[in-house]
Amino acid sequence: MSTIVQDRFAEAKARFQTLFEAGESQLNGHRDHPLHQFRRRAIHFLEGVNFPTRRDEEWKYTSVNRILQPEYTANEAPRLSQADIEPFLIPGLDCHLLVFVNGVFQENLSQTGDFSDGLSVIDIASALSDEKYQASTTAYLEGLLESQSDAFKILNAAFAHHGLLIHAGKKAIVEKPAYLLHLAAPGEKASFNNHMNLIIAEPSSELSVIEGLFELPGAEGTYFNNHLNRIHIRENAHIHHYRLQREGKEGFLVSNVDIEQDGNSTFSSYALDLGGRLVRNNLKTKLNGSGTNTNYWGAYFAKGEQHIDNHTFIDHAVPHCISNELYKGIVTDKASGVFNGKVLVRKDAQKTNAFQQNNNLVLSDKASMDTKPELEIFADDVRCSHGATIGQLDESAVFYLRSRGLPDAQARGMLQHAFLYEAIENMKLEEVRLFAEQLVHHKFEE
Amino acid sequence: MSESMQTLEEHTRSDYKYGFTSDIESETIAKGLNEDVVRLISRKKNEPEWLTEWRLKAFEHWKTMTEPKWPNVHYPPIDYQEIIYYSAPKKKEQLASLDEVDPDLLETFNKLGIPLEEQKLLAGVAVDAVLDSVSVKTTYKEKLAELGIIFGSFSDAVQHHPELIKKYLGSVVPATDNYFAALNSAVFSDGSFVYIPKGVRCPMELSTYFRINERNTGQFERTLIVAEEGSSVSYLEGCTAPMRDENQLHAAVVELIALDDATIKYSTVQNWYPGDKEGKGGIYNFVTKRGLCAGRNSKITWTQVETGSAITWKYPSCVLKGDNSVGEFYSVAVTNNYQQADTGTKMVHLGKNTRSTIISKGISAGFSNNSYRGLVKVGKKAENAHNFSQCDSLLMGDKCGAHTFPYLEVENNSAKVEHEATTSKIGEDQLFYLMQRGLSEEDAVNMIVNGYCKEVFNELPMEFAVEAQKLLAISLEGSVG
Repeated sequence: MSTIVQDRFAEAKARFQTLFEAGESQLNGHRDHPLHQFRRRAIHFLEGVNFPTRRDEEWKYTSVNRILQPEYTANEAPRLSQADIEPFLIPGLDCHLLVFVNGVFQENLSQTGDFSDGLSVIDIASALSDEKYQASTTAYLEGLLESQSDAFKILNAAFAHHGLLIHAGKKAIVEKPAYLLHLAAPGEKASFNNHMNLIIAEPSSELSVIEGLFELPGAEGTYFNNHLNRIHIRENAHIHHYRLQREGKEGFLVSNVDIEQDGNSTFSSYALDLGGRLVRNNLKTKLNGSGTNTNYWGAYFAKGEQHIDNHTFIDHAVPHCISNELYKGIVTDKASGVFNGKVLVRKDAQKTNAFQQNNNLVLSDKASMDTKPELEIFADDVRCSHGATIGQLDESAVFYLRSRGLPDAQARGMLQHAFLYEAIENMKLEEVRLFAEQLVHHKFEE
Repeated sequence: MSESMQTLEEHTRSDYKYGFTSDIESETIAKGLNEDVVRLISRKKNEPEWLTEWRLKAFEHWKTMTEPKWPNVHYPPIDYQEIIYYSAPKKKEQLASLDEVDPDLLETFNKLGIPLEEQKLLAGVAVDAVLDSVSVKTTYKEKLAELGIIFGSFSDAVQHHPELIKKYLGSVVPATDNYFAALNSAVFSDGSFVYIPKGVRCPMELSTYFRINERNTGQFERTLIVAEEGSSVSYLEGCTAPMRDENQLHAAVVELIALDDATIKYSTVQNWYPGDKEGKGGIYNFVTKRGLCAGRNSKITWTQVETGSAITWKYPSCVLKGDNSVGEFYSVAVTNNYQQADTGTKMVHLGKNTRSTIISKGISAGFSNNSYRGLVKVGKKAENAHNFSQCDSLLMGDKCGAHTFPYLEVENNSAKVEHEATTSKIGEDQLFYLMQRGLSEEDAVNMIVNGYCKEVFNELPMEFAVEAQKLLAISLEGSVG
């Protein structure tokens, strides 16, 4: 690492520390709360951790310099009315709605309703003093600081005040999904927003969590969303995790989703990345028990000068597990895309069946795409395959549509739409799928 | 059972056949590496001043570099001062004809099945034999010279064709390219040089046979092949080494240059000593191979069958600079026992309408690890580039590993890049099918493995089919069945 970069990172760290101390002085006597004690430890932990550079293989194609440059503040959340959030609600979806603006929970806008179906959503601060959740919540938080070297996760641990614990009780089949709406309202100064979710599905439960990340219209400015999800799926349980994002033109997003799956559980991730100046998603699953099923579906569409980086990882540590991954993306204008999918099959993970596919359309001569599908396999009785393509629209398909009377632009649009749709159509909740399609539609019209 | 099947069968059972040592008196210099050693090697080879300077510059640069750590292989640190950098069979007298070649030497190569006597040669193959650091004999040299083809040892070429060497040496792999290329540039001892003049199609296969004999030596050879406009050449290299308990380093550099409409086909059958069953000994094969398709419509094909070496670490690459140029890479890499391989290719598309194909087949058995690492890069100006990559891995045993690290980097919107990879073991259903037709389990496995590699074997030059099959010791002993 060059000394210039090192200095710059050290400065960034110092700025984050100052920001932390500023926030600490406004705690109004909550200093002794266990959550705050934890956050203090996290900020100290940050000292020993380095931000990644492009010399790190995992960050070869994405530089974090741009994210770390601005001087961030914790911006006050503007007071919003119901009408302000209306465009971000999913039409027709009956859900528990939780609204966050700049990482701060907005009770007046949220509609949590009753949690009679075995679901509980409480903030981490309360969970730490609740007898029922204290032990597990503490364990998960501690896990963040143990041998953890990711600087962004540590930052999140230090700054996320309004983290949530989302918990589905044993055998609870939760019909009503939780919709977490994260709105960014950047101000004069660049704002730094953090959010953390601990999502736990107890044995034989099923639960859907939808996360929407958007920028409020009319408030364009620089901001950095540092997002963290820690998911644990116990035996026989199923979690659907939706993440739809259309961050602002000057918005940075780093999203870490760490999943742990016990035996016979299922995890499905549905991701749609449309916005953001620089987006980095890390999706990591660790398998604890056999007979699990893991699905990753992702679609991304980058325009202008956007940079969208998706890193996915599945750690097959136990036998008889299935993983299935499909990521599809379009890059155009001067945008760049990165995909890195890694499948690790450890020595004892026999009978693993892993599939991974990444398809990309590069539509302009200044756009670029770097993809790296990786397989690391140490077991012999496995079936693993991956495929990756980078290309353009099939001209004969365009010709076919034009011969049916469609104008060129429309024909191409239709094909691009269909291309992305393959990665969206698996969304299980129909309302969410339609909403996602709507978002894609807007993106095409931009 | 076909002949090839028999050969395969034989080799899956046999131990390393080429592990004998020859008692040939040789001249070695003291171990260790410093500026004086570089000068000494240069002086021994009677090199012109500019080449000595070139070596020293490379050595200076090497001293500033550190050994790369990124490959997926593990080995104890190499002590570069413990290596002997120059070893040559003692010359009894200047060789004028075959009769004067040291009979011990002849015997060595005969044992390897590489006859140096022209009359007994496989029809149409010219051989340049390299023992330790020095080229001992080149066959058919005169016949090729009639066509204007220069084929012989690198040292000869430095003496007789310095202008060509000066022009092309380091033009594809610069002396500062990487750690091992820099080391090679400083201390390279010999190798082959091939020059095919304009419009000449080389009438026979050219071949170099590398043999490490002396203890504690490192072999650092340099091969340079230049194909002028409209010419074509097919070249094969083979390599073996004696069985020794300590590891020996082999760090070679191969440079290929294809000008307009030229074709170069480079095939490797690599069978360095892989170490014993406990992973003791064996060759570290750290090689830089790169071809430059400099001219329009040029084509470079790499075919490799990698069965030997304790550690193989190489990426034969193609820089597709000329418009319409074509790069191909066909590879079979077999690892058994404690062998490690991190191999693949780089296809760098720079010119318009360039095409590349990558077919890589990995087989891992025993406790071995086999990685495919490849880069397909399409530059901004490389209109209509097209790449197809396929890399399959076959696992035989539950203690081995197979890994794929493909990098696809595309900066041009007219590029089509396709990559696919699979990893699996031999299908129970396939085995069952063959066995119910009356084949034994061993035969069935061999047949499936053979079929799996067929795509690559087909790319090997016809003339070498027999020889390659012989050298291809797919040492899967103990893992079959």
